[in-house]
Amino acid sequence: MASSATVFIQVWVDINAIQNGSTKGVYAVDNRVGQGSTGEGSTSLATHVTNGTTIQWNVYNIDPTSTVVPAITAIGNAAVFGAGGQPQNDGTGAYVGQVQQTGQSSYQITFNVQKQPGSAGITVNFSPSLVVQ
Amino acid sequence: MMNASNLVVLQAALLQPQASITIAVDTAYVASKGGQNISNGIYMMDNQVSYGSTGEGTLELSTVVPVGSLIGFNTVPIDTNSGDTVIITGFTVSQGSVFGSQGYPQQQPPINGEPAGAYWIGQAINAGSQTYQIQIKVTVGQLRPISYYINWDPFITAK
Repeated sequence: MASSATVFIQVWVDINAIQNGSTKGVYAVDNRVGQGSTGEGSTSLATHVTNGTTIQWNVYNIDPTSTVVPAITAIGNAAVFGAGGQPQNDGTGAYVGQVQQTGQSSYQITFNVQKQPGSAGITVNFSPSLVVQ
Repeated sequence: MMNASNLVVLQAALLQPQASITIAVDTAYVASKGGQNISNGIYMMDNQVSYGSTGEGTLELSTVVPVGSLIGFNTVPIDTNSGDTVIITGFTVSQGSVFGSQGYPQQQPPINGEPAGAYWIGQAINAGSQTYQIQIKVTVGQLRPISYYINWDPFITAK
């Protein structure tokens, strides 16, 4: 079922490039460039939103035919999520949260990729930011 | 026994691109500009940065692939709740001949629930560099949808 999100942050992953401890091959975009977001297409994405907005995060393999599916494992705390807006897994693989406080916060996205069945997964962390007005 | 529908499935399954390009579109931004002078809000990324691609996340993506590679082109809206759609309407080549005639991109059967036209595959037949034009159709709105046609000039190098 679709979330009530109006802001979307997509993380696109180059499975050929990613390695533990690196953000090479990781590209984040949102649907807010017209509202002032910066760093589109990079791991330094700064998403500009208004207070109270519901946001949805997804991570995708750039190769849409691949059976290798990256998965968000955590979205870290940030002051702008307030007391009740912390992003949660919505059961479809997306994370959905709400900004409940104005200000600027960086937050951590962690995702995991298992390139081959049975192989050790690769874990990638990066820290984009939210600017809430 | 193999019938016609089995053959279609088999053909689709055989086309497994060695390189993939995603084009993610901020459809509301495109609409806010009336589809004119778009220099932002469209983000191209490939899975070839380790092979030398540059310009990731921009309109000026320069993809580098081995000669012979199949290259998938997939368009997606960033806002997946809006019902807005993004499809590819065609390609042209303005400089170079990496696709040649044999490798010119072709529309593929839809994948992952996407609309027809969102997924195309081309092939890097010849070594060298080429500038190509990709045209997309961004359709925004539900009651009275409006379509915007946008094209720009990324690059492919085959070596």
